[in-house]
Amino acid sequence: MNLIKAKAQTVPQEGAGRPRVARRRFLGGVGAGGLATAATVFGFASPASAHTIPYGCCHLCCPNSGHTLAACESGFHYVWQCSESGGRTCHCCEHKSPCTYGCSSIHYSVGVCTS
Amino acid sequence: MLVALGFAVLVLTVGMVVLFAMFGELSARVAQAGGRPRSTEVVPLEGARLGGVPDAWPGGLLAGGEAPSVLLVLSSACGSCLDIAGQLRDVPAGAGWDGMGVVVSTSHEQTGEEFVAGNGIGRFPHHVDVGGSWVTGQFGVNFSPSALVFAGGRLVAAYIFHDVAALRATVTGEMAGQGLPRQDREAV
Repeated sequence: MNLIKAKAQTVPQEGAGRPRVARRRFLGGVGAGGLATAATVFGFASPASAHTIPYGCCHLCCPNSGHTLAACESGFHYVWQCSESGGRTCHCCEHKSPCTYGCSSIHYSVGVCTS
Repeated sequence: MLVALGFAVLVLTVGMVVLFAMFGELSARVAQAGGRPRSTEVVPLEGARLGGVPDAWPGGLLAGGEAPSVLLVLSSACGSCLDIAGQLRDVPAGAGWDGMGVVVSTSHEQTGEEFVAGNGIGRFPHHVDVGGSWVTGQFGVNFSPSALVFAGGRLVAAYIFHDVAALRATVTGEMAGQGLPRQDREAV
């Protein structure tokens, strides 16, 4: 008799668990879909652009390093001049390889502009 | 009820993602434009070795075996050059500039190749010039955005520009009307 009672109590609980599992799966699907969409939209930025900002007409990786142009132009470096549309000229210097290997005390950029 | 709630959450999620993507795109375009109107001035570039003939042309600049008549000098470190690249990208396929090539001065080969790929320069004859050694060594030019004009393989003029259409009008007009650009006639 007790067994029959216990069985009768468990049947409705199993029935209520199905919608709960279905809800979990559905909401999990919604979350996964959102993550996949976000990854698709935002996942295509180039690595260099993550730490590259404009300064004058320069396009600098790792700027504001506290280094001078003279310091940047010592050792292995790349320096180029550019002009803004308004006429200002800038020296853009990359010391070592900031655009490839990221920012550090030896991988940095310096921009100096004169009007 | 549950399906409606889930659908609403899905729509809101996608909406937020699209909204932030649009903000990102807008931010990128504003940064490139620099908030300053583009100058249509085309001015001579001082210091270029006019009259010079390059020892050799990089293979990437030879379209059908012919050297370019106009060479645009861009740099991966130059923000103005991104705007020039954008103008080149907007040129419809088939309406290009015959005889035009692009040199991309850069610190590293990989950075230069990324600049070429990211800005659609690959459809033009181009050369990634590591350290700017070729264009500086051959013509004494370490400035961007600039344009080098050639006649018979000889450098006859060098310009600073910010508007591709204005440069094209200047170069084609002077070469068609006078035979040589004004800068070269003054120099020779």
